[in-house]
Amino acid sequence: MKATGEGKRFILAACLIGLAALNTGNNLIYLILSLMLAFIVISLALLRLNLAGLALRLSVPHPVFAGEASLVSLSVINSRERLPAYSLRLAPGDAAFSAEPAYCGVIEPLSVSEVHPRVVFQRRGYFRETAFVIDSGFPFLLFRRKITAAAPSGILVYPALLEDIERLPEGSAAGDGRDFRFMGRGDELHSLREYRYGDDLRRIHWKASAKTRNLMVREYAEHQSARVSVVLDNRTDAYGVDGGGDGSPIIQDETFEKAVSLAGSVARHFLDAGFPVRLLSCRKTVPFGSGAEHLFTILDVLAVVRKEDAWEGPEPSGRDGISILVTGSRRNALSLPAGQGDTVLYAADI
Amino acid sequence: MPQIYKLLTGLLAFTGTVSLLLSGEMNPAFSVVGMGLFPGYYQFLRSGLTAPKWTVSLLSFLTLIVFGFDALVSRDLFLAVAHLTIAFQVIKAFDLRDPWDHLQVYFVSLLQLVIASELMSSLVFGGVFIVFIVLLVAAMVLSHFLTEGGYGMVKMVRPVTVITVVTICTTALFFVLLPRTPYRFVGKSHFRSIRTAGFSERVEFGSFGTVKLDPTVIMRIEMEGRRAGMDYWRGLTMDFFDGTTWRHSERDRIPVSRKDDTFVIIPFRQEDVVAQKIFLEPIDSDVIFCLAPVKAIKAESFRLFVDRERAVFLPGKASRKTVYTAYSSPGEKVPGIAEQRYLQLPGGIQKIRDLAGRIASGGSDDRGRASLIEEYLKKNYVYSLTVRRPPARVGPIEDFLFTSRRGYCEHYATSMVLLLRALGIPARIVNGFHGGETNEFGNYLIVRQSDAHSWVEALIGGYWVRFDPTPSAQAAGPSVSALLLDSITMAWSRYVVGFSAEDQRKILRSVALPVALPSLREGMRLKWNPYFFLPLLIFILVVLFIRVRRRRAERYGFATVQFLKLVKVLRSRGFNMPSPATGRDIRERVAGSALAGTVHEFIRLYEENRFGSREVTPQDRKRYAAMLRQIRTLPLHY
Amino acid sequence: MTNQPLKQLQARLTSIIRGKEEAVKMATVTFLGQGNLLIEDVPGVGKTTLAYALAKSIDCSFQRIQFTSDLLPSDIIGVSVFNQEVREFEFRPGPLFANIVLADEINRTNPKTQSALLEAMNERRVTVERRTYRLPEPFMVIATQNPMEYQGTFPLPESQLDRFMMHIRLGYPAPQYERQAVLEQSGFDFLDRLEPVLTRQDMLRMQAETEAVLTEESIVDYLLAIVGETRRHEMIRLGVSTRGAQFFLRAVKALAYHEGRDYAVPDDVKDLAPLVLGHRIILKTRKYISDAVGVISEIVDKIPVPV
Repeated sequence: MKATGEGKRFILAACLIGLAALNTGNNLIYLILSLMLAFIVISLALLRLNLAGLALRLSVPHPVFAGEASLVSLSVINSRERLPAYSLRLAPGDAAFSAEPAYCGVIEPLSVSEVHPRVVFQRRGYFRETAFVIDSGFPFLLFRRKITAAAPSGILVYPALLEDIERLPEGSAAGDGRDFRFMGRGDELHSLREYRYGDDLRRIHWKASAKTRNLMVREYAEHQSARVSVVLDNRTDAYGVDGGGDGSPIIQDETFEKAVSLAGSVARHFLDAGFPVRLLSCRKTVPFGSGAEHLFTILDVLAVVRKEDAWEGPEPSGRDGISILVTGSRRNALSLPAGQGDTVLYAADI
Repeated sequence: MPQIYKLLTGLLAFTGTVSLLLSGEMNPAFSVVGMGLFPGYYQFLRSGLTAPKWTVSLLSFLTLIVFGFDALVSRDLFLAVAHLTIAFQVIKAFDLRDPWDHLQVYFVSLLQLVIASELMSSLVFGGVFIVFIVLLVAAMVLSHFLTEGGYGMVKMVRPVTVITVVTICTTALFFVLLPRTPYRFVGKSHFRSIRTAGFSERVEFGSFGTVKLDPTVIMRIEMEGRRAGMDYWRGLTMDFFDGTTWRHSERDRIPVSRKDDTFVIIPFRQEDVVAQKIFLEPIDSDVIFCLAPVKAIKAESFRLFVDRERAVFLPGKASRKTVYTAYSSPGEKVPGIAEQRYLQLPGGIQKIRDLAGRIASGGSDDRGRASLIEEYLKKNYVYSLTVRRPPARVGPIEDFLFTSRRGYCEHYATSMVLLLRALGIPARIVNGFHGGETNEFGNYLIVRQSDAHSWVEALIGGYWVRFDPTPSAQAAGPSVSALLLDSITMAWSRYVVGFSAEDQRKILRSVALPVALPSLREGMRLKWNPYFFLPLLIFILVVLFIRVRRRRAERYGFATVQFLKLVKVLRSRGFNMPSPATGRDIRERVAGSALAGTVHEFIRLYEENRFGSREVTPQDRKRYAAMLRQIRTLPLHY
Repeated sequence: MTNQPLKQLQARLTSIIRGKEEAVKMATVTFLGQGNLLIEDVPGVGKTTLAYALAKSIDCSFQRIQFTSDLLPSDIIGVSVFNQEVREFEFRPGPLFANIVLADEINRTNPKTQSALLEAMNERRVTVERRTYRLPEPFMVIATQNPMEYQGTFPLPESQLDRFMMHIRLGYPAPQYERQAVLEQSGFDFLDRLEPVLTRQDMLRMQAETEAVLTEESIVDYLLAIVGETRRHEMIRLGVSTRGAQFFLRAVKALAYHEGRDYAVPDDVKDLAPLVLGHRIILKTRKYISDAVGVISEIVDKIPVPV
């Protein structure tokens, strides 16, 4: 409970009028003093009432990614039976996220009002509840009162996904070194060549044929059966750099976060391209799957993944198709059994 | 900025300024200045334009100069500040830019109200105050929503109404609870007292004639037990007459000793006296009035004086309404000593001496003679307020007695005193009030300026005896509405302006000891008059009824109400209905029963009315009623 | 039902596909609401029959596209072929250019072809070589897909699913109808011999009338309350989109029209919610469509019905 600028002036005026009343003994000045005191008391009382019995509920209509503004739906629930709640401002109550200010004009008794502020979660992770500050100056703006309310939310914030994965610097390729960025699905155009007997007529590229006056057919990349394992190296060791005083490495959380983002981005890249993708990490693994739905299954794991001490997960083998290892730095990379088209990405290079 | 907000600010400025102007203490020039509010707010409401900055600065500067002169010339800083606030409001009317300007207007209005409260205490202030509360709450709530950005999202009427009511109640509570001191410490009063006649040490003969038609209320009196009749409210006595002027020659005032809060003049027994609670308006005299002979006065005052002629004085002129309780024992004889001054006569009254002798010739003793004189004056003279000026070198009494034979109380009483003194009977004149009207609303007595009266006290057999030679004049009673209004004024004077620390103690005591209610009743004399509250009660009930009806109709259309009835009826007939039910829910549940057909038709009609484009026709209304009746009465199975 | 042609259509369809009144009704409703229908079920329960019967009952052109893994977008939309004689490209319309298109087993083909179909179906036109070709009116795609749990499929992405007005399951017929179906002659020969009961013009008129169905304000509020709740529900990861709400409203109008009313009632909204919204939400936990339908039903029970 805090007096606003107007409130302070008002209290000062009330004090002066109080003095005047005491001095003159004039009942009419007492009457005015009573009015001012009534204003102050009602301000305080209504403010207290106004903020009682309120509850919040936060829900996200769309998946939320760290560092990305997303429109959330914040329900303010007035559980009082008679009193409406007026004029509430809502602001973020902890440092985990930032939100643009939201405002509720009125919430009728036993009903819900919904606001849609844009919220940015700074970090990935699971947020069981998010704290909001409810602030009101009702009814006269002489005083303001703030309460912190936890909104049960159960929000899973996914790691930020990198848009421009094509421009990633690439580490050393462990396998045959094919550039993973150019591998496409079976229906991706690879090249054009002249028609040969036995080719599927549907593959004739009419435009090119007209140009060259020879029948040209399309040739497609042939990786129909390729499967991709995204391996996130989340061993603590992988994220240390030299420089600790006693020779012990300094663990870089920032690099780990980048690695998680990178792993998610790579998974999305291949899922978008139509590959079945799986995720391997120290403890948790997600089996092969495809489609946008599967991306979220992978992201569910990535949202809460932590650094572990040792590798306990299965190691990818050559039969499982392409493996892409995402790790911290070259210093302490996980050694992978050579697989088809294996690639190592270093988060520290981003 | 919404129009309503501008309007509220304007009204608040107007209310504050009007409260000052209504006090009547403002310089007329500032009434003219105050008119500037109208063009200012008119323009503000119409176009939202403000005056250029340099004009405002110039005007502010001029106002300050005027304020300086005002304060120097009138030597009254208080009034000068009052004038300044009016000028401020007018300048602000042309210069409302940001929300803070509006808040300034509210604050200055409040200040104006404070100043006005020092300048007047009439019921008008109460009216202005209530208006001010309503406006201030509305303006502040609106201002809040404007600042917070909720304007337009929220219906303002309900919160404003509720908060206004709560504010008024809380204000009343605080008013009752705030600790009071009855004394003024610093500063002088700015009340204008009522000009009265007859209660100064020197009274010009004929001054009563000027006030006998003035209906201004001088005091209101509550008496316990005894119905106030035609009582004599004794004020000041006069003993010296020089032919045109009466004088009160007794100069010694004796302080009365105080026991608790009561000034006891003569020790008395509680059961012998009549208590009169008197609410005296501020008058230009320090005399207070009560029934004679007075035994004690209870008042919240430092000191109280009495003189040898039993006139009671406040330490000074009452600057505001005075409340006191007098304890008197009417009927008790007052002993007196014959002094030379009670026999003083002006020169050249031989004719009067002769007349006295003629009138009193049949009287055997002093009492008989005095009664004869009283009778004589009552019978042979005409009561009239229109008295022509006596010819030059003829005294007014001589003129009254021998020539015009028309006059009013002053003439009668002075004549009787002179006649008595001519006969050697010590006599004096008493100025006070006589009678008053009883107000049934609240059961108290109203004493007006026009009730001012003079009568005679003569010392007969060692005791002062009252004579009133003035014939009674019939006056038309005031109208009911006037009495009703006066009772509200009385309540205002009594419970707001005259609210005292003693009242506070009584209320607290009654709250602390609810069992001791009778004593409270005696002290508070809060009379519950049903006739007074009935119209108000009916009005409130009607308003509530209409609101409830309208809200219901707003919430549910006619068809919906019918549908809800149907659900209720079916439930009463034993069908298990979900809540809220849809048409299909109901159809499914009544399927197979004899009601199915009617219910289907009912629902079809409801859906057409409610969700379709079909308006509810009078036929539809009948159909609904008929079907409901069927559903209520038909047997469930064939 | 007051609408005679519609009554005949319903009678015809139910005589062919017995025991599936509800599915038939919803197919008709989708057609009236100018939407597209997604039927999900195991093979061989009459998905194709329903589509074919609907097309044959309305004097409409019908095309069936069997989706396979090597199907290309041009195979359904059509191709620009270089005509050697006039030395110009000419457009050869694909099977999509029909009034009723049955897209069989849509989840067997690759996403590229899927999206080509769905985009064309939603916009009701195709663009080839910068030239735009309108699809015929009326137009409806009835897509069938195998349940997700079947292997070797490319499930339709959510954004594509959103383009179907309704998602229904047929289910195995009740025993008495199945017996009948087994005994009766099989094949579509007898369907080919059927006479249409509706003309194309009838259908277009009814579609126009459907659009004019009155939806009272409280009905729209109710509908939006249900949609809004899907965005808030704790079990739902992704709620219904605005497009979904638009389809929902159109479906409500169509159902009201189908029931012979020119206004919608809350029951219409209640009935349709699971069918129209079930495939538009993504659950946090599991992804079987039946779970989603359950959640939708739960929401519908929770939202107060307007009276």
